Amino acid sequence: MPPAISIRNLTKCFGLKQALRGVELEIPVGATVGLLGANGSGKTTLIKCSLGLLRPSAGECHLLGEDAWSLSAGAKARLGYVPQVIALYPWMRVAELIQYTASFYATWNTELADRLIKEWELPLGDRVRTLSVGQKQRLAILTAVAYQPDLLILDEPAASLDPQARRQFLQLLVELSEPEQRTVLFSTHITSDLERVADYVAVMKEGKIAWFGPLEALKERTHTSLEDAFLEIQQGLSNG
Amino acid sequence: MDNRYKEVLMTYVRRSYGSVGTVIWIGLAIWAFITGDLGESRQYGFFSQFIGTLLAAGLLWTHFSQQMTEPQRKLIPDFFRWHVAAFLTLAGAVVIGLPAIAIYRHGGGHIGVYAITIFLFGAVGLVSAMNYLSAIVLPVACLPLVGAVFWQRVGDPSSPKGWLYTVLLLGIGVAEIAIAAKLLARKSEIHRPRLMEMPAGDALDAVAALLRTTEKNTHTSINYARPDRPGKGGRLGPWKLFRAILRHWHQARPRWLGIGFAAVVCLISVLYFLSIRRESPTQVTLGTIAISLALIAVPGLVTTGEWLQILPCLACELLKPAPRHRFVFSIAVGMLVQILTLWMIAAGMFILAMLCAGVGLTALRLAAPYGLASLLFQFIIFVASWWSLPIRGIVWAMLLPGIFYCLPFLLDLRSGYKGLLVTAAGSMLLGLILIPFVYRRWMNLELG
Repeated sequence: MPPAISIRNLTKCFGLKQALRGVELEIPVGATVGLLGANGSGKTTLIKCSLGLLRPSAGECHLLGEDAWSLSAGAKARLGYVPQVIALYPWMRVAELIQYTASFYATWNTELADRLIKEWELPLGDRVRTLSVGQKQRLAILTAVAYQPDLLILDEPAASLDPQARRQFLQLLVELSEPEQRTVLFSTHITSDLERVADYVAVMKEGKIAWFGPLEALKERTHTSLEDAFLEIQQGLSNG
Repeated sequence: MDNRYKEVLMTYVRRSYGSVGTVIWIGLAIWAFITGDLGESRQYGFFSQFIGTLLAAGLLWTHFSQQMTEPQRKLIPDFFRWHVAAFLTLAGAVVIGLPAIAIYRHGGGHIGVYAITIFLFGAVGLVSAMNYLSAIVLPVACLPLVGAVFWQRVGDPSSPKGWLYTVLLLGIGVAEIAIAAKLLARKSEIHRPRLMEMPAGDALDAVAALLRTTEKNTHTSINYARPDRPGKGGRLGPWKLFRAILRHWHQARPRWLGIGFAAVVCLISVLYFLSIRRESPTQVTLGTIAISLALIAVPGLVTTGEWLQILPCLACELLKPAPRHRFVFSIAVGMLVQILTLWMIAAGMFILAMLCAGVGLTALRLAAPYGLASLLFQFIIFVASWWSLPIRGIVWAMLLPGIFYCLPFLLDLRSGYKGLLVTAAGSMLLGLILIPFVYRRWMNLELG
């Protein structure tokens, strides 16, 4: 079985600025990976390149065994993404947006969607533009997970959520990552979130993967908390 | 019907044709065109077709081109296929359905309508593919060309010349659509879609600053920040497009684009003026109407300075079939009215400004309701946009051209004093109705 995400020597430049510098990363199917990194370390660029939203300057990205830049409809149907900046259709009502998204996915789980709508108290009749940032975040998560994708990529998904919603979201993430064939990659700044959900950690520093491996291995190696481990890596430690 | 097709189609309907203003505008135009007796005054019918097609095509292309550059297009399965299908369905209604009804109803002699529709639709699409904010501006700018072609009576292809113009328009229209499709296809592969950066010229800023003379004006002027990113904009509607026009004229290379446009308007006006001198002094053709429509589309010019505000007025005066002494008089009065209006607006004297424009322009337009309507409409839109009039007010203000141009046609008033009365009374009434909205908004604004 090919890895869920396979990135080889990925480089991405924006003008003269090099956002990614030869990133190598292979995420096995079924892993739940937390992507840690300081601001500007290249997390979002890496996620966008791996999704085929940005064309790499060099190197290659494969997603579910296909080239990320030219994914087939079948691969897209198995892929869920929650962007850092939520870009939903503001003129639609919540119910309309859910219905619109559902129409594209044969695997849409109405039961799961209804449950999340109820748990997160999403106002179905309201227009998306009237929702708060947190509500939009929940809606984006709902539309990304309700078709139960095999690969779920989330870019700082809990950033705008209140503590209660964050807890609900993490529970959902744990629940979603249970099936063996489902892979989850999420970036975050909150190490406590990562500890509760992830079984692998990738730490980014200056456009490179400074450390990648099981969460426990990282903690054992540094004999500290995850937060301290992260800071140590930022100061120069790597597993290379 | 595939559920995906239905849902995608509904996004177009909801977003592009979901506002009251749009429905009334397009509906009124189509109704006037289909039900009206073209006969001698077929310019009204054609004009109705124009404004209906223009808005319908603009909204359609805008949404479509945004979807084609929406970042998440690459992640949703079969996204392109269903959007193209929905777009083609609605485009078919605009470029095939409407002209077919017209030709069926009014005879094959009106095949020019079909040529014009394709031309307009393609022009809107072409501009939209380059920069969707301009989806309306440039096609409107090229309307004088269409008017000039119609001036040659392309709508009646009884002569080889007429056929030549028809085929030419059709060819241009098809080429435009093909190029638009190619541009959009290329754009959809851009790894990071960006909107056109719109640098504001220094001279432009200076002139705009002159108009914002009071503290209140500074804080209540519309937000000229970068427009919404593709796919993130709100529901489309006439008000939004006109605000986009404002932004466009205010920020997008006004020094050559604005001046070039004004020059085209004036040139066509002069040519037209010369032509009616040569033919009949009372002739009113699509040339007049096309330029009136062009004038409607340039309210943003006022933000670039007083002289640009004056140009449409001049152009309108040039169009009017009148003796030369009256022609010169009209220019003088027209300029005075425009300057006074702007000064009053700058000073915050909205009611006086509204009355000045209304009374002054009404006095000028005794024989040409088109010009009156367009200028009053332009003025109201200007006020509405500058002071962020509540959306509902702007939507209703957008209905003015439809009402002004279609109502006399529907009531069989043609032009002359009856048409004038309808136009003047309607414009003044609507202007007065809008004033409380302006004041309410102004009084409730947070100025800190």
